[in-house]
Amino acid sequence: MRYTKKDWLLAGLTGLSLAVILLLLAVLLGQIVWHGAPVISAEFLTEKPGPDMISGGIWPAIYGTVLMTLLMTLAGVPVGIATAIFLNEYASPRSRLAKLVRIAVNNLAGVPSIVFGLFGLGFFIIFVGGSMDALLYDDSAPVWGKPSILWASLTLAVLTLPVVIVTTEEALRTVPSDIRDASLALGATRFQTVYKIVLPNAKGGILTGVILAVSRGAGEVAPIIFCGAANFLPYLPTDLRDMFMHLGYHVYALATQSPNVDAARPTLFGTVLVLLMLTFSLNLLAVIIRSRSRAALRP
Amino acid sequence: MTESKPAVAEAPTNAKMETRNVNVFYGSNQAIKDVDLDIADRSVTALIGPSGCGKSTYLRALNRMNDTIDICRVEGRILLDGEDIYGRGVDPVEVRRRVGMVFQKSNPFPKSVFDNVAFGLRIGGEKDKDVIAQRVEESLRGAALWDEVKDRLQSSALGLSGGQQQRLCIARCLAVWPEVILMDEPASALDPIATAKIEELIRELREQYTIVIVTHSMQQAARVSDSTAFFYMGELIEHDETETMFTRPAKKRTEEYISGRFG
Repeated sequence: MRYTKKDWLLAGLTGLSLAVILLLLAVLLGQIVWHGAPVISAEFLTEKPGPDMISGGIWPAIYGTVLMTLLMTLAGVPVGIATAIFLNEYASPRSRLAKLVRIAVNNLAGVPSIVFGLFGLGFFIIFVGGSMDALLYDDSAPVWGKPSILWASLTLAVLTLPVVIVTTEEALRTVPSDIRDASLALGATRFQTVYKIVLPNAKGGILTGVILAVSRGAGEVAPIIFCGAANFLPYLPTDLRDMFMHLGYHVYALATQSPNVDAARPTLFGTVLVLLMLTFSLNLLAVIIRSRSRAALRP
Repeated sequence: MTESKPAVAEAPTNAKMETRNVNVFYGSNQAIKDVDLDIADRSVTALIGPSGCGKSTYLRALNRMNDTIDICRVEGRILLDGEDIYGRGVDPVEVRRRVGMVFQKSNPFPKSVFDNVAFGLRIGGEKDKDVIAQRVEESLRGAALWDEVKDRLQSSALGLSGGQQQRLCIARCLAVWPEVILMDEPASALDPIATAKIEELIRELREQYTIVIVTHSMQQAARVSDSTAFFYMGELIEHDETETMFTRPAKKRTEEYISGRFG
């Protein structure tokens, strides 16, 4: 194909944009790996942080992040998938309720994450937790009505909900309607059709979407600032009502709250590297599942 | 209205399905107008007519597949062995087990050949592996596919040729032991050899099943069917024995369509 002048211009511009993006990514990652890698050691990964937050390791933050991510997934993903199934498989295209839910989901997706944090504080901690305390306990110290890993996880579950719903719906839409018809024509109920035909065929897409949503939620800091992340807490949470350390929040704390910013820098980079590896490995998992499920569909 | 009423051959006593004053609407659009038609037991009834005449819509009313289309509404009575399938308390799932369907575009599940045929049995609650294996073989033989796939039952159905896929869909339909099989232009996407195989199969299946087939091919209707119904603009114009329809149709429109003057 011969390129005209306009083609060359367009190719040049897009190539330039690509170079800028790759350069930024390389500088960012290079910096983090360069400064962070030397800090990482078995001790760094398995020890509690020292009282100055700089010495010692970041194990409680790793543990807290993983536990929070797990709880968030358990709480949010089933609801999100169920909602998408309702919207795509059960609700009629003209249904008012479905329209309303879709509008709500789209708006939810556009809400800044700090607002989710405030919502978590107001709804989960003060309203739900506070009401539980009022019902169950005398008005002494709050038991449920205080920041904890439970409320932080639920807040993040709400944050990731729209992503799960939208990606699941997309995955469901890729299942051709003629195999739904085939299933129904064989005397399958709608539930059997969803469970035996639609979901197995959308599995790869759903899993990919879920993992991407989870990996986004795992790295969010803003929503959990008010809801349960602790600045410095050198022991592991053992109860849903405990507060917890979080890698992202630990980065924020090291960068802004540390008395000696220069001394904190290596630890800071090490923590960032661990957080990135955690979310990257989740993304990698998503990529692998996606390519596998595509391969499975081929004859 | 009354003079355009079709000259229905007096209700055969062996009607498997009877439809009375059937109207089908898509929203405010009427797709089927007042159709009275009897479908004889263990025979092949062909539905012919130009595109958009409503024959597929009518076909999908016979096993309540139209229920899945939100804006679709069916009026009138459709009887299966004398019982209204749209009657109160009738489960469409039950209707579809008795009235199977083969679609225009072959639509095997992205599963193995075996699992495709076994699907209807399994969702029907059959657990016995021997029973399933036996019914799968029986159905594949019934659809004249067994010899071609017996060595690859566990490989993906999507690897079969177009004609094989369509026969697999027929086998899948046979496996649940339906009484009536609806076929919506089952050979329109196939080459002549695969089409011939499907037609031969239809003639064999007539011994045991009641078959209603929508087709665009006049020759196909002539070759496979016992009686033919001509639809035009949502109305049933004429229904008679296939031979009569193709040699001495009672209505001028039928003659014009069959001789290729319009449509």
